[in-house]
Amino acid sequence: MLSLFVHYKSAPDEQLMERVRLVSDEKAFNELYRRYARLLQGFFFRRLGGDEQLAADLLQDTFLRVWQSPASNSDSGLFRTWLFTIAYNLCKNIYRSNEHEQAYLESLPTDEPIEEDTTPVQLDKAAFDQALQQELARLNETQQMLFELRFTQEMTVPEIAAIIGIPEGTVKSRLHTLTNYLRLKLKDNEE
Amino acid sequence: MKNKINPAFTAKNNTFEDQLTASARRLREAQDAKLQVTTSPLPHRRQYWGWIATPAAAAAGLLFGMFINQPSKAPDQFTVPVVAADTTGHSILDDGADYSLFVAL
Repeated sequence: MLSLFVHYKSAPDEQLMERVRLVSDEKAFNELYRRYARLLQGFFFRRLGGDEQLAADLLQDTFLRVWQSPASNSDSGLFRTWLFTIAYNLCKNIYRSNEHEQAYLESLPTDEPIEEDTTPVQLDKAAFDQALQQELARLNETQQMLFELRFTQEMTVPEIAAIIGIPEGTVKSRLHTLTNYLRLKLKDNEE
Repeated sequence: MKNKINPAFTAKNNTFEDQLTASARRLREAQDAKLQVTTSPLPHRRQYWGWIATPAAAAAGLLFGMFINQPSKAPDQFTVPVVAADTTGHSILDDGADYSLFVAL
């Protein structure tokens, strides 16, 4: 049931979204925007080759969709997952319009199970960050997207599976492949 | 390339995944902080002034309603022709001629 009084700053995302959906509460919408705008603009910025204007446009586009079609969130779970699903689909449309679709599809990593090595790499923060940035730039779009969702946005496997629209097992497998690959590459930077 | 190992860092990050997460967070925060985030696509003013604009509009409507319902001192549309007819009739009678039929009308 929709409560009459809401403390917007502390209300959970889902409660705010419910208010947007049921009573078109602009204050609830703006609070959601305040929480996610920078995060989402950064997501677009990284995923679309560092184009700040395009990132800003897509941020607006995403939130306008949230405002105009709030009902599509009614039966899905977390607001964040839904928001990033919209953002992910917008990115895919851009890839398609840039005729990157074929490269995108070809870049899908194999789902072969691999052995997991979890030992940390012996690098300090600055060196690790620098080496990681270099390696990330060499990954294909799919792998970059996977890294972004899992490590940059710190999402769970079920969330990623819901956003990309693939089974959780496939997400896990791809993450293992990616993590193992990065570990091997970053280990090369050790002393 | 020689890199010093930060013991505090490696102690906090027990696995390579932890290292990745911490590094990705640092990179994200550094990049996101530089971005000029645009304002919300919805106008801000409407929501903040709505609570005062609604009662104000209601009060203004009430005042306006009271103003237009005040009894008017001006002659209304039915009295004006009678006054005009009277005036015309009297001025004609002053001529000395018999216009009783016209006055009666």
